[in-house]
Amino acid sequence: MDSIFGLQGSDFVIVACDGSIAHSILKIKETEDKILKLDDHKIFGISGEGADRNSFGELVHKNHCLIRYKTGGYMNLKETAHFVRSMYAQAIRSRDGPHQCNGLLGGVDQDGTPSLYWLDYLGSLQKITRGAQGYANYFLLGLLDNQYKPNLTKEEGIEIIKKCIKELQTRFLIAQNKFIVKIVTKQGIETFTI
Amino acid sequence: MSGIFEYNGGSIVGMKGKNCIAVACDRRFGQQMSTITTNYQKVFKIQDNILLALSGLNTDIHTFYALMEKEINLYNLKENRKMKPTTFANLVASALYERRFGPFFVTPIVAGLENGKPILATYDSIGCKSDLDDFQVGGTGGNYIYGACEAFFKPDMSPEELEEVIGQSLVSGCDRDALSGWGGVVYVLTEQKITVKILKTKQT
Repeated sequence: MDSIFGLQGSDFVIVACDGSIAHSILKIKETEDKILKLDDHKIFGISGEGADRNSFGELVHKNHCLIRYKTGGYMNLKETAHFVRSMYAQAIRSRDGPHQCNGLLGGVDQDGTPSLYWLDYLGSLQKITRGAQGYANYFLLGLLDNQYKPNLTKEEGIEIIKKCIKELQTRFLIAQNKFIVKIVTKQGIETFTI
Repeated sequence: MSGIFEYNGGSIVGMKGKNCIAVACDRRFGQQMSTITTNYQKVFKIQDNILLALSGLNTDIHTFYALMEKEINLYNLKENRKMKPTTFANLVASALYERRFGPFFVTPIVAGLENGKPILATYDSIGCKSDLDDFQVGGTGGNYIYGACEAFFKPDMSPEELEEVIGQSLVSGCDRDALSGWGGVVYVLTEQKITVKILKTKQT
């Protein structure tokens, strides 16, 4: 039921998530942050059951730290995306089974190039300019395709995300009132709640 | 789920010419009915004279390609020479059979040029090599492309003719398959170079 969506602009990446945690008919929380900060310039929005999301998120975060420690401090987005993919791919044929969560990994490299990657629980990987995970796919892909143009500015990007949120609030059966939006630019990560 | 091979969709085709060989693929990556991207690369350059096309489950395409890249790099380091296309074709078959009881859900096509002679091989997901035909197909749109290939193919085509024929076969096939399409890419391998051409198919 989670909505995770995002887009990539000329020098930034935005990933947004809904804030709700629900159990059956009960809404437990509305302000859950499902976008994990991997480092100062990378974010990973994860959709899935709470436990899977948290445990896989922690696994990715800690392993990412370990590799950076072992190899000298920095991993660019492409390396990180392939690394997260390999964690997913290695799990699917393991005893415990696949990690039951999908994700959108976005960030800006040291030279300022933004990238956004779509990852699913099997280990599929695609570099995208706009996309969504979960039910949000059905509602937002058309809107994102229509509104997106190359070299978006940050303000235009935020406007598009606001339209996406409005669309979900209007048409999606599950009421999702609060959305957490994170923007990565060369300067760092900004967070705000809509 | 209609089938694990149909989950992500996609089609590939390979065709032999006179001292040249071509491989083509569509560009769609989807999740059953939903299309995620339309610029998904399914053909990989293993070596200057070997191309590997993969169709099937996206995650296994990534994993299998990484495995093959590792094998060829290790081979280059250990033996200090390039791998022959027929050797690579055998390597793919044995790598697939290694996972006989937990296979990679991919159908590969290996296309190469050995001493000017085109080498084309295709496999099922557990490594049964088939290298006797002049054209091979794979993926969800495979059967549709077969028909077009039979009609358009003739032996000993030049690179330009081959590019045209394989392009038309791919486009005709993909236009009929719901899970393939959103553009096509044709790679023609000759002794001197690899040319890449992007084609337009029905955009649905």
